Amino acid sequence: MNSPEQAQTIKLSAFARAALRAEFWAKYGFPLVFVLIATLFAISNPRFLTLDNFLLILLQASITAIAAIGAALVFISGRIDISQGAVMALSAAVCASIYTTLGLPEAVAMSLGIICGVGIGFLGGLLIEVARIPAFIVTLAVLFIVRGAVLMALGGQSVLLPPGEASILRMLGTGRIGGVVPVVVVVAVVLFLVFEFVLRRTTWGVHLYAVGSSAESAARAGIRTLRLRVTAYAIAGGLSACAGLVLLGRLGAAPSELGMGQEFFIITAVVLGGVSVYGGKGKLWRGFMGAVFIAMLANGLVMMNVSAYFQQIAIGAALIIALLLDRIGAEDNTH
Amino acid sequence: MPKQKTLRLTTAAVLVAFSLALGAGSATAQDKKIIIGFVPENIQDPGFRAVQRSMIQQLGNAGEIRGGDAQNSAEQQVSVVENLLSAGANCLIIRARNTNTLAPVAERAKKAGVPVIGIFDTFGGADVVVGFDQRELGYSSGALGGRYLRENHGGRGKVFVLNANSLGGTTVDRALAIVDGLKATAPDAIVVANVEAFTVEKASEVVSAALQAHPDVRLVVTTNDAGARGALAALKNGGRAVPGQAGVVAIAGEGTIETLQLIRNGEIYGTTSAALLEIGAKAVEVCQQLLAGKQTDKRINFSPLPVLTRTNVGDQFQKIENLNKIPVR
Repeated sequence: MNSPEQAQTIKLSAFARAALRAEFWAKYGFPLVFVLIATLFAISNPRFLTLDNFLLILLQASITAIAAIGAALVFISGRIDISQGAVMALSAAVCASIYTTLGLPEAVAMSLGIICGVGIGFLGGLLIEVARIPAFIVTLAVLFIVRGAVLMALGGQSVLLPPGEASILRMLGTGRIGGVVPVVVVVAVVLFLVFEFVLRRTTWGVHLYAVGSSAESAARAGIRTLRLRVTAYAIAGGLSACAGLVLLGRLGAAPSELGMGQEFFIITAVVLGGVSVYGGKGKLWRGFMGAVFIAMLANGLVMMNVSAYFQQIAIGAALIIALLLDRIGAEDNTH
Repeated sequence: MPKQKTLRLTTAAVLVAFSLALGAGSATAQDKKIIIGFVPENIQDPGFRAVQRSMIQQLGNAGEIRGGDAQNSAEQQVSVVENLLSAGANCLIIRARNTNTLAPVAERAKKAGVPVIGIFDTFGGADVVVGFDQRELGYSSGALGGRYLRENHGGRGKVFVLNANSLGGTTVDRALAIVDGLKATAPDAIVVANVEAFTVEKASEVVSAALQAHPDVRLVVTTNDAGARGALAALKNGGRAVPGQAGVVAIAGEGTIETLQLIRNGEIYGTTSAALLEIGAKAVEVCQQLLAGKQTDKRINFSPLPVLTRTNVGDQFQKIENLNKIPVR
């Protein structure tokens, strides 16, 4: 029979053994990195841990997070989308232009902006699933076409929201509930909860995971893979459009270059959060954490007075780490 | 199993390297008195690095300049400004990526008692603007181009103009003034292309394309020095950039050692100075005055804007060489 000392040693060894297992890192690696880096920032500058700063990080993360929901759905279905930034620009430009030039009510202009996003996503999904063109190529083409269309339509300029008007958009972009909690954070959280429910508790969600895991098996089981994936793309387009409207409210204008490069941050957030690039796996709430991580990184690096040149390296490195952790998890699952 | 082990080791190595680099790349600010946040549209542009260095030189030990990279994105610039405010910046110096999108965050800065200085161009919410008259800058550059045409081609020839109109604001005025200055000094010059290009790559691409339609171009007038370097590369590739065949005129090239070298070599005809170094230093001075509770003018313009050509670029070259020894973060 073991002595208490021997039992303690065995207990520690068991923990150490667990920590060395791949599945431990695949599951807890990102949260550990998150906490480690947040601690580093907090030690370097006490301002990092203030409520104001925490809410600022959440606000900045929420815009990425809203579009990341859609990106996550597409990834889970086993596909990819890199057109989010372009769709953001389109929805903002459409909404702002309709509101200012046609004088339509704000809610109508916003709805039309979202419909544009849904439409772009739907068309892209059709091209991928029906015409069988690789997803990366289609969404890259969509990015160029939509960007070019926005630049052409706006002549490279911006559409301004009239001062003192567009109260819904401004509330969405800059409003705070009780003067404290940013409205966009609440919107993002609600969207996450809704889609988390859809993924976990509805047939559609379960089927989406199945299609992402193995489209062939899912099809043989009678799941309509084409319809599922096209719907995922359409939803992703709509959510990117929502993010674009938030940015419109936040900036008070729709610059023609809005959302440029956002695709990288959105995909980084999704992958950091544990949604697998191989499809069929991932939880939405972790995508939200991924978006918060990126915003926290940008915020904390400024707090630490890290060179602006290093900040891009840091974000790229974070993506590599996330992908490595994802790969570890995938390797573990195959053994 | 070896593959898993390799993966785990690689991940651990990357994590450790990342953390070490993070620590090495940082600097604490507890011993500094003033934190001035500097957020140009693209901090990687050598012109803005020169501005940042002149700010560091001006501020000395009185504080620190914290650079933020907007990466040519309006929303990114807003986020960077917010982060600097949260980090305790006492003053902000901003070159707006878009003159219309900074008003909300500038308002927040005002409420926090943080002065906001705009450089080069005004934007909604700026307390003070330190810059120059865009029309004067563009006109002077156009006139320099006209001078080149008179000296080398009898005042005649086809001209490409590269602009940066999408930046909005008075940048559009700059482009219009380039043409006015050109016409005033070389009335027989013909502007055959007036397109947007203000990065090296874009200018090279655009000028290469324009050369197909107009291989006999005599002059390219650009809206900045990055455009000039790109245009020069395209002309060289097209066999046109030989002194006497086609010339290039830059704007704001006085802060970039490469552009100054090209002027010294005679490959770029000249540049109109945008008072980069003076603006950077003045902006810091204004910050310090505002923080001390003193009043300043709302608009500070540098004029006249000097012109640098091969004959007088030597001093500026030396100045920039010395300035480049100041490290920037």
